[in-house]
Amino acid sequence: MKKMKNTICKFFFKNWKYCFVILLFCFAFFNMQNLNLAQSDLQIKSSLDQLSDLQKNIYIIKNDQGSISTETIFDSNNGDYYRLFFQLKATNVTNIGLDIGKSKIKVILAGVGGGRQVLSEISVNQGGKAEKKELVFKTNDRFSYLIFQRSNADYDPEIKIDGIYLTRLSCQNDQCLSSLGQTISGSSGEIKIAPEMVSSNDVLHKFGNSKTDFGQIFLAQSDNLSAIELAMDSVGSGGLGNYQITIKKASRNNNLFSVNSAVLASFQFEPNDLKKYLIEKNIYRFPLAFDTKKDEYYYLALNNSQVKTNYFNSLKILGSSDTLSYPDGGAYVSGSKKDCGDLFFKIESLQPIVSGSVKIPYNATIEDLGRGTKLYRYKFSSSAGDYLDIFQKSTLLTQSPYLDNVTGGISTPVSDFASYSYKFDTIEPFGKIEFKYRQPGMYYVNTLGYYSFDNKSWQKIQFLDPANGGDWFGQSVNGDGKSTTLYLKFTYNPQDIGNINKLFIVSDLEVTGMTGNP
Amino acid sequence: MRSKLTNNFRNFFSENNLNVVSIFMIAAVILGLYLSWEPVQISILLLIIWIILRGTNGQNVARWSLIFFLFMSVSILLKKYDLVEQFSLGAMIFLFFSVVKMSIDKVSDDKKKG
Repeated sequence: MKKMKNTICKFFFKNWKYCFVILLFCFAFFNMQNLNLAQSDLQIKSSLDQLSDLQKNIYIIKNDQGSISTETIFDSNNGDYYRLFFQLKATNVTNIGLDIGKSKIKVILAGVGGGRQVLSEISVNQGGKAEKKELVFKTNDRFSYLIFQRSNADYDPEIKIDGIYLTRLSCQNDQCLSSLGQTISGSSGEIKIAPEMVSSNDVLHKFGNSKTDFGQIFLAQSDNLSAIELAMDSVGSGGLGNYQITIKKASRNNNLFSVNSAVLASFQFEPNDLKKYLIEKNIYRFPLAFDTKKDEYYYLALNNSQVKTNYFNSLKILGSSDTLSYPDGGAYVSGSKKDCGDLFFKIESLQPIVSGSVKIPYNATIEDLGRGTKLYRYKFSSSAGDYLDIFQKSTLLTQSPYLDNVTGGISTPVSDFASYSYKFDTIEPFGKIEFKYRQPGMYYVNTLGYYSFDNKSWQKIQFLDPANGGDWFGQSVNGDGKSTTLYLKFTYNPQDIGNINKLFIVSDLEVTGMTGNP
Repeated sequence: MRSKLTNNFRNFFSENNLNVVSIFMIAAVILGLYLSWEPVQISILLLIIWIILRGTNGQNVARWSLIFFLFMSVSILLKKYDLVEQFSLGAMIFLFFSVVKMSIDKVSDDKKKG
């Protein structure tokens, strides 16, 4: 035995160089896989992102650009009155200076003939969050598109502009314009941030080769989770694949927490796309929707089950190693009882707007067009509102719809006639109301849509002409002069359940109705 | 005196006309390709293996570092910024290795003299 030991020791001593190289190979094999996307894949991804932005009418003023023009969105005459809505956000906040005066952009009306009219110079939100803007104006020429221009060339973050919507007002004079009622917007509700823990000094976890769930137990302080903020630091490429943020129900028994395995809400992101969610250095904000209940425990976790990570390409989760920094929970690796401290986290809850006794959906806007007419407009925004606006749904998790950032809509598992509905209350009786939605792709179970004015008798929503795009359903109906509510219900086609993905999806839901005397 | 195991190990390669260093070099290329490395990264690994197995003095390693610095500068001029990153990594590795190797050389020289 001793002789054998000596022989092995001698072998390693004599051949230390080869052994060292073999160890180097082993280390490289387990930790040094190149997890960057190939250059060609990056180019394809960039092109797809640009195409997707164009389809969604998202405009980005890049760092080296001074301005951007929209496509033709209207055709005005001299003296027309309009209302313009849009959202602004600085997507790359690294170069933002302290000088607020720099962070402004001009909104300009432009015509094919070269005519220009500066509408306003507005400030850009420096917090990394999108901010809605509304402008009412009278045209002084013929215009057809908009130009967004940096006021100061030194202010060079990327500026993202989306949600552009222009409505022609019924006003014919300035007096009418000044007497317009205030726009009611469901998204202007208060955002409560609670609970939160805002220390990010320590690295609490770094994802390695093993697949883990790492996250924070928290006690909900208000209903309706709409977004979360986490502190992370990317190592190398961050990994290859999709990280997943999940919310699970937790319960407390003295100082022990137990977590239910069912995922209540989830959000997936690629490390390459992290900068889209950056709001300040190492702080990221993700839209995540679930109707959390106040005073209940939840487990907010990040997992690397669908991403290749190693020592040199990973994500570090930041927080505080002090276990007392957040008293109502702790940071745990799933399955472990060891409290690692507390994550940096902020839980946002969007509070609904109530007008009179009517709850306004988050994605709805009611605008006064003047001369007694109002426009009710609802549009999915790929945000928590798409989910939180659901009026009725199954309480069973196996049938419950969820906000799906992969398909960009609301997905629901196909199970026992699962269905859910939306309620749209125009406050005043509507004359004509239009609605449409899209069911994306043939790889999912077909969605069936129904509408009703009383939530009892349902009519099937028709398939739109293929010329409008293959997957669109919708129609236009006249009100009875009394109805102020429209219900839309979605379920799946039971004859189509053999499809690959047992999900039915609704995306791009839009409702537009006029009240008063259009 | 070489152990029996070492002799067997060496004999296997000599009997089969195989050079141990070249086997390791080929293995490094295969490993690099398997791990989706860039050509520059594979070259760095090959040089490291060559230095470890064949042995060279610290000055030669420092020269390699200089060569990588030169490549780095050329890449900056050509605006190939992804290559700059890789060459700078190579330069840093060889700079580190040169210091280590020179220290080892110095210690062994002192021993020989002493």
